[in-house]
Amino acid sequence: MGWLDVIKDTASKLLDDKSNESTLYLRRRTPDELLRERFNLPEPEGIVAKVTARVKLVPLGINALNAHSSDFEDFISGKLWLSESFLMFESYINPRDLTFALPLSTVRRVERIPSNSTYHVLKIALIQDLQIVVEIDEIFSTNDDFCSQLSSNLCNQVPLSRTLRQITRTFYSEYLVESAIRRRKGQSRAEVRAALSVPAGGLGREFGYPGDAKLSHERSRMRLWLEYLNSHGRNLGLVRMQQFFKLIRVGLPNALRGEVWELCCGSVFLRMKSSKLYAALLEENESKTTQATEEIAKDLHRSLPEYAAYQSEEGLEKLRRVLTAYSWMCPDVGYCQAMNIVAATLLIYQTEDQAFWTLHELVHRILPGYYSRTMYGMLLDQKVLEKLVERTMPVLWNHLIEVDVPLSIISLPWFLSLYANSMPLPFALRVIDILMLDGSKVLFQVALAVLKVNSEALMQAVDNTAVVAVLKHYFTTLGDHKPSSSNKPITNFQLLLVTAFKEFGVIDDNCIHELRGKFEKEVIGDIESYSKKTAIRRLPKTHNLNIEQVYSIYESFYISLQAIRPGLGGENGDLEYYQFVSFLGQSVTWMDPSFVSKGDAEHQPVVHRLFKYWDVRNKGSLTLGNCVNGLDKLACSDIMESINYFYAMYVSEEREDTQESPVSPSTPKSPKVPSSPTAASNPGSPLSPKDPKSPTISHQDPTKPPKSPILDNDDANSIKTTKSVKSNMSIINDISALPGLTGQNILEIADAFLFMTKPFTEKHNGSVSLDSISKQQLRPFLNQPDIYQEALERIYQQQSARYLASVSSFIQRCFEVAGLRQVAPEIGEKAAVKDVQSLIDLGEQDADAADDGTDRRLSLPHFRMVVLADETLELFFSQTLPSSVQIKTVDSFGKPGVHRLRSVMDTILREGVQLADGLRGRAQLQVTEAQDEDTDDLLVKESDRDLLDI
Amino acid sequence: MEASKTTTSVKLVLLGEAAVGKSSLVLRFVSDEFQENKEPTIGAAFLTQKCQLSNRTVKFEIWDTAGQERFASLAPMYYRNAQAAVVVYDVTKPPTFIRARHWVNELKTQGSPNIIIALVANKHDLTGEDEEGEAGPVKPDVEDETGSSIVGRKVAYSDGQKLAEDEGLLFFEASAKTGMNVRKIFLAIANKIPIENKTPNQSNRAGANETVDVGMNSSQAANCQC
Ligand SMILES: Nc1nc2c(ncn2[C@@H]2O[C@H](COP(=O)(O)OP(=O)(O)OP(=O)(O)O)[C@@H](O)[C@H]2O)c(=O)[nH]1
Ligand SMILES: [Mg+2]
Repeated sequence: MGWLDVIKDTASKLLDDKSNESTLYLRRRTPDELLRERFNLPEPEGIVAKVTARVKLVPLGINALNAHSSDFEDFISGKLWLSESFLMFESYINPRDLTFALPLSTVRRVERIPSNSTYHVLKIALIQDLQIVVEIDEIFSTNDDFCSQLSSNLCNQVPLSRTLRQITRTFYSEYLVESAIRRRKGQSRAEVRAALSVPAGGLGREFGYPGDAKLSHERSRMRLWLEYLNSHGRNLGLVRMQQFFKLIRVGLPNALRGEVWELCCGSVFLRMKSSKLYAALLEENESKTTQATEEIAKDLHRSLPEYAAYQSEEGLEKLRRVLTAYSWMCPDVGYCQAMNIVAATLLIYQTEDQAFWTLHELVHRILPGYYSRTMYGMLLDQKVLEKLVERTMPVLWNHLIEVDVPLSIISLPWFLSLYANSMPLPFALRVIDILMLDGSKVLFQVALAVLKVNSEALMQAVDNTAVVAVLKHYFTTLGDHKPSSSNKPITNFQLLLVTAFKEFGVIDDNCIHELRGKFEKEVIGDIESYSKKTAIRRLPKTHNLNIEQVYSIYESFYISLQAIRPGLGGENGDLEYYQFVSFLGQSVTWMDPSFVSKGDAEHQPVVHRLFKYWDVRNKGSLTLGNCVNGLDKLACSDIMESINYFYAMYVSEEREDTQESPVSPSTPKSPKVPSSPTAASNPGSPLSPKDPKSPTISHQDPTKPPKSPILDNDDANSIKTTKSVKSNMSIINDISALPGLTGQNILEIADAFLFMTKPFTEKHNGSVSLDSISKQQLRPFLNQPDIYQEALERIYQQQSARYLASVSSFIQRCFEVAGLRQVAPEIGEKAAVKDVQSLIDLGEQDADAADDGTDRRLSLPHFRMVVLADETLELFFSQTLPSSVQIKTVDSFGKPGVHRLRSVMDTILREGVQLADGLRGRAQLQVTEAQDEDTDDLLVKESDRDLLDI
Repeated sequence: MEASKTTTSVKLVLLGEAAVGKSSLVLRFVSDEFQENKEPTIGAAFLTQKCQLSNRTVKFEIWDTAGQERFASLAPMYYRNAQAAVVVYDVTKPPTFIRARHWVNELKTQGSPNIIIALVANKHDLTGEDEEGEAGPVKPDVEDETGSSIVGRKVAYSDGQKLAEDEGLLFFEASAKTGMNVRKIFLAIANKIPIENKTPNQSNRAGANETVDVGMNSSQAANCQC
């Protein structure tokens, strides 16, 4: 790949990321997405071919050819699409004249009819006695392409069409039409019943349907549907013409309701595609409990309790199964109150399997984000509704503002329960019928109509009480007949629908989409700031970090999780080790981000140490509380406490090792296993006190961390956090009682000192932290740019020499004091090579040698003594370490941010591409701007180095 | 109708984990009823009820909120300008007590400055303890002779009391099912409401209330019945 391609590629990825992350509705939808939206197709259907065509239906028995020549006027012009497994059509002038989305598996045969025109004429025979004549109206080559694509896609569907019968058997319409045919052929009712089995249906079959069948003219509706199905195909092969839409508007008959719902919303395609998933999910997760299953259990008895089925075990179990299966399939959503009411409603008309997929389609596509963990979709749509009321009924809107009645509070339950807990069920069902067909705009249209119809009464209302009373009264009288001047009296509900679709018909999908785009940022931002505040309020108090720092930790915590925006309510877990490494990279100065991105940091023993020590739950992952608490301790500038903390971190290994430790500190697969002393994690090391029977290392692939199955809710977390604070404290209090540092521990600490103060070498291309002694030395050069760089280099050198000296004398003294073997002279000599690694390696050999069976250790007072004896080390604990906790204010969610830009740049650099100076300069500039908050602190930035590089 | 008494309107919000019985407490207070299977509250429900004190009438405008965690971000909409809050937990479910603690915390930091908060341990009837008697110890669940389990008390009286003392809350153990202490909660809150309760942004409405007093009263009475 040429470097330009690399840039293009990475840049476009960056842009994609940006659009996914920061906006749901503002981005341009792809043609494939639009197609799927238009016909409710499942992913990954996309446009294979698209042509202009004229289409005509020919019920079986009529010669298609003749029909073609004589009924020419009956052809309807529109667009014909072909996707991988569907053939779709939508008429031009009014889409409702003719629309279909036929699974290719329902096509029995396709014939090319010879014609003298230039058009291609195809006769498509469907499984259900229906033929469609299609005239493709394009230039010749396009026609040919379309036909050959069609035939190849049809071939792919052949296996599916063989099993099609299995699914068509589940449709009531199939039974209905078949039995009507048999009856027409003279079979008696009993004969028909004996020959055909009624497909499974909803609870309503057994427990009765809500509402009065007589009042709702159930029988005549059924007849009308039968008539329609006879001539327009049925279930999967159903084509939609004007009459279809009318039949839905007037309310679906009970027996067909469940089926038409799934056809309208497209859930049937999912059911067809993954016919075994529902049962499999239930089986797989049988007897597992999660937060969602508990919440579902709480609400089972509280779902349409007045409906007979939900007073029976059978109904309740069905409901439980559908809701839990859903929570298994979409753990991000889990269970949201109101889903119980929706699912309970579906189950009256649908089988479990149907209801499951319909629920999914509702939650996932029709009402996106309504039931998510943050309910952002719901909140967003309330904002949109408010805007629409303001636009369409400004007087009423002003009145509501004046009397201080927040509309969204009132309308929220309407939307969330699809009116099922506001309107009497028979009416809510009618709204749901149309919702399945037309999508969420129906909720808006009805809400606006409710306000419009009641606007006079609402204008009289002076407060919440009165407004709520008006609406409550209205909903209870939906069935009443409106005293109307016209001869045909209509009910309140009919008037409501007429108002909704006539007056508010202009509120279409585009309009709503646009308004959602307008408000999404604000709404999601509000949610995020609320959850941030809440999360932070629930954290234990910090002693060394201020609230701004805690806020920054919150940000980098979530960025390190690489979570979906928290506002969108994804399930965000805790930090796994590899994420912790990047988190630490943003939180302390001694972890340079470029160092982190190269993957070197994750092998640092001290990083493992911190992770293990902070992981007080011993779960192999860190909560926000763990991280805040840990950084708070590191930032402590009380030297005694700071020394104690460090000491405890190393001594505490016994506590952790005796327990099952799920964290693997080193990755065996990685070729870069560090040679530095990972004693604590090395079972072979003689000095690490360990129970040989319990293998402490259970390796995890850091790139694929196993998700903990249960998301602890905040409450549970906070209990644990409080506990963890206590246990940490108790360690601090009792550390003098701990056994002391082993030789290996001492070496590890030495290694940590060096690591945490080490100037990054060119190899790492990173920044350098200077301790305050060095800073002091550098001060005079600050205003001398010409020699600054040089001075800086020199001061690093001095600093590292100073540390090397301090550390080597630290090792020496520790070993002396602890009565471990005298190693001093050797180390002292060899340290002159100034190679840190060899120093540590040497010490390690000695430590190994020192293991003469006696268990000699360095106690806390001795450790302190050794540290305090050395100015540099003292400084390390009182200043260097605490001040190394600097939480970088990284880009917050939504902004593509320089942070990302930088990682893209890193990628490009890694590809070994030489970039044009200008481009790089610009990008670097941005990086500096964002992170270079504090110019006074003497960190050498990458950009400084770049000046040298080029 | 005691037209001579002054009427004070009080916005009150109910908060607490799902299914602890918030709606049931309100239902008991407003219409003295109890429903075994109450549908979960979606978003929030609005109800009103009046409390007669010796010298005045307090009209509660109650926002009964949904308890599930994910509805929590809506809560600020409801407790905005609330002068009183009832934070409910289920005395048989310790996690609900932790949640109650969080709500108290949130109200203290985000709510109106002088908000009156009552902490309520609901479902006291499930503990099997005498309503008048001393609160019993925390008990494990037991099975009675028919094999159905009796839930024991799981949150000690002293825990609730301690939280209330620390935070300056009213505290009651109550039961929406038996009606135990339910009226007391609202009476105690009413008594703590200062007579001059006209916060600046409400003075308009209070004024309006006074002028249409009679009409309002009749419509409210109707409301309370339903
Ligand atoms: N035994 C007993 N059951 C109660 C009591 N109060 C409520 N319940 C039951 O607990 C369940 C939940 O009651 P709700 O009042 O709906 O609870 P909620 O707090 O409003 O719940 P959400 O609206 O979901 O937040 C219902 O089944 C009630 O019958 C009580 O005092 N004793
Ligand atoms: Mg409720």
